[in-house]
Amino acid sequence: MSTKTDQERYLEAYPKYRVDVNNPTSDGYGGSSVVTHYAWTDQDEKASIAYGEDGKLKVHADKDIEICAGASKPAGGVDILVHAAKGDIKIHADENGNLTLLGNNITIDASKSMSIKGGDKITMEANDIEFRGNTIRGNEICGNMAPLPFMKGVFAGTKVGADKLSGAIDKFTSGGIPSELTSAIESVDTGAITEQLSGVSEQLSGQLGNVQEQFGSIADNFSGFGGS
Amino acid sequence: MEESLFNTNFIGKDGFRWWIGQVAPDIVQKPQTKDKKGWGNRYKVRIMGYHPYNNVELKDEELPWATVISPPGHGTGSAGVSKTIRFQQGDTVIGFFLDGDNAQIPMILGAFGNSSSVAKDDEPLPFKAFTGYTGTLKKPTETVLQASESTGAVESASPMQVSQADADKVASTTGSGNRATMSSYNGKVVHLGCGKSQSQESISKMKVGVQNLVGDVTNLKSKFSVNTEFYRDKVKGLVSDKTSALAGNASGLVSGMTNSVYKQMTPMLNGGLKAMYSDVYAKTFAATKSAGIANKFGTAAQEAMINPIGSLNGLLPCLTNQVIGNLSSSIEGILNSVVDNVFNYVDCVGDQATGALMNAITGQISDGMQSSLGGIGKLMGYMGNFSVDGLIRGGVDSLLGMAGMGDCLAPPPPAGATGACTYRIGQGPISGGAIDLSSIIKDANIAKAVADAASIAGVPLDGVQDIMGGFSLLSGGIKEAGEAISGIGDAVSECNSALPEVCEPPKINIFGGGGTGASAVPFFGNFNFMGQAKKTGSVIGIKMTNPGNAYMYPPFVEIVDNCGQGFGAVARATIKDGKVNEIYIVSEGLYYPISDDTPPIIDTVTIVNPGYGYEDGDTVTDNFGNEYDTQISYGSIIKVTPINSKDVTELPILTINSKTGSGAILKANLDVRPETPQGEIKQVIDCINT
Repeated sequence: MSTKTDQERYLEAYPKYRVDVNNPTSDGYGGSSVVTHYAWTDQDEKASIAYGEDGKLKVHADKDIEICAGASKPAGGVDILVHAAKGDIKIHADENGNLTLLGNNITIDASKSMSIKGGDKITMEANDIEFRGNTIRGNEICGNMAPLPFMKGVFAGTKVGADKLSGAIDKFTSGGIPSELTSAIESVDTGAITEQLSGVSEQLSGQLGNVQEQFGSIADNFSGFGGS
Repeated sequence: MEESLFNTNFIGKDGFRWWIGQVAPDIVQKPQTKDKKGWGNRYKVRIMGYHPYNNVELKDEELPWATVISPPGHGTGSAGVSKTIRFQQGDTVIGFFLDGDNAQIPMILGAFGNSSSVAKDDEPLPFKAFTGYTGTLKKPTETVLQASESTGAVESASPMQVSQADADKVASTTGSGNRATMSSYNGKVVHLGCGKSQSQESISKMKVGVQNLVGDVTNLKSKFSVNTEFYRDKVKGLVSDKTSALAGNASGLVSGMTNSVYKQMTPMLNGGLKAMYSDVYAKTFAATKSAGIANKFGTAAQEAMINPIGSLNGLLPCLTNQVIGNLSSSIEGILNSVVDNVFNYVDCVGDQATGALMNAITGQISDGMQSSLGGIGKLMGYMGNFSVDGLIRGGVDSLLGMAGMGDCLAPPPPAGATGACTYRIGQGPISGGAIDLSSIIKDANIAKAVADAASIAGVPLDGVQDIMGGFSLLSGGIKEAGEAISGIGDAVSECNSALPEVCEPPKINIFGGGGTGASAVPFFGNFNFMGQAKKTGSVIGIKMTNPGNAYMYPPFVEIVDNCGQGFGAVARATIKDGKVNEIYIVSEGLYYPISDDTPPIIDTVTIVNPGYGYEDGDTVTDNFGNEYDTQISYGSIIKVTPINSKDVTELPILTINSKTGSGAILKANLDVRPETPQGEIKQVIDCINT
């Protein structure tokens, strides 16, 4: 039964469903209701389609929403179009947070700019990946794409040769690092620098002869480099 | 034969008998309704004056079937056109007997309307008022129809498009009975992604997550007693779900913080290596007087650092994942603190929770790097006052954006630079959500210092308190620390998350649109009292106090009070030459706390749409009796100016009186009544004699 009131509000109520038309009371954040369809299940899951004086059409469902189209039309054309005339389009997946686009061919076409952010990881996988651009830059700390990764930055301007550095970079960026870290550090702790300095002293001893003992003592002085 | 002698057997010719009766309980209607084996639209009806007032003399099952006569608009079922007749058990119906005085074939013409004033708790006895709900038409658990079975629009409250807590607040203070929400989403806040860096995104998500948790818990509190196991289980589930979500969202922040550490370490390590070389070179040269030998020794010392620095390099990819994996317990602790201590979400709650999270991450990163830092112990001796903790806490700039990009190659501006960063479902874009990272880190550092001081003083803060430290969200922990932290904790920004003691008039938040600086104040009308004589009102107008500048699009307008008491006021802004020109009311809302009820006047009129077809002589009036000077050009209304200024006590509605025009939309702008309308006479000009 609908009731016409002096406020020209109309209501139809059914089991598990009701319609409010022109409810003058502000029943929501969006002001007065123009029309509200409201339904609920025995489990008290609610769904609604509402249009308010704020001009916003809201479609809510406590459970799921399905939108399907195109089963009876020939292939091609556009089955579903989501069009925003002047504002943004936002798709937000809360909590579980997985957002998946599935299709044979997927195109993301940004007329101006596109930003892809991944808090933890971005993975691109394909038979063929091609980057096109006038400039392509990396800003990483470590990895094999950056012009100045961490190691190169740390050793920039030092006496360490590029050959030795590149070998180390390859070692520490080629995978399997975690298992090697401890042993690498331990090997340094045992006196890597001592051995190298000793090696240098031996090498030089043949040439300088009488200063051999002196070099040995110098090596002793510097023992322990590389370890705490 | 006898019957035919006296009766015509035509309706009306043998008398016409009206009757009033009651639809019998649903259980006896089963032969008509069960398995759809009935026919027509029939109900068993107990008829007053014909049937006894008890079901002993005449059982409900033995009542006659009364056939419903369908209204013209319902169809009959022919050609598949019909509407379901919706009488329920207990309904009072009126009809007539098709067979006149024989009274054996009752027909139902209609029913008397229901009313919420009738008590319906009685069992279904003849001619008593009893419920229409049945085993198949169950009483809803949470709908607006719970308090009343009436379908009359006046008596029945509509479902609300607000959060459950707000709906319950309105229901309890206005006495309008139970109010249902239209969905479980109303009131939830969504982060729209405006951060310049992934770290900022993570912080925004953390804040929104905390805000929604507070909202969810408030909703739960409005439904269940906090002392029940059911409530505690629900809260536990909420915290668990939110912990999982926020741990995932923290990736960007952890990544940003480790990134910050490594970027800051790079020049420090580089400087340390060079200092080491110089030191070794100098000592060797002093001993050998040979530059060549000294160089070889210095170089060898630097080369010895390749492996340990390489181990730091290799640690980076693992470190982030390791930290994220260990964050859950910290986040859960923080959220539990929020649940226990926060009764009203304010922005600083999110800031403090985020600061605590950053403390936790800092500790994890620092711990995770210790083993690798051991390898460069000697090198660190050349690096001055180096600590990972210090690098993280000083690395605000790195967290704010991507370093190393020149201006001309800067990443694209964040989406929403001209919009809003947060969105409340059911409402739209809302203000807030801005991140003051420097302030967050400053407070986080102080909070950590408080925890450290407490530990030194022998009053260590355990578990989550260790990372929450001096944050006021855990004031209990601070008190326990006592004298040890006296003075330090005071430096943490105050954050009052208790329910406000005084509800203040709403503020007008103007945000988005690309500009800044606009401000405005509201005018109120439709005054009424809510609950304990609290005077409330609707927002009937908004006056600009500062037009701001640099607006590219009309900004969003948000009307909100500190208690979240009022809702439903919607306003829109117009801009002109980069400034906010006017703000007009679309919907006035309800229950806003007020402090001043001085009525304003109509000052100017905004032409939202000039319409067409208007003619000279058309007039504009309003619901207060004001008259307006109306200018029309080529059929469109181009200017409307109020002539007089009567008090405005409710939302002004301007009416255009025209026989030809249509489409024009006018909105009145309000202002306070001038104390001296004419003002001081500055000069009298004689226009005749000059």
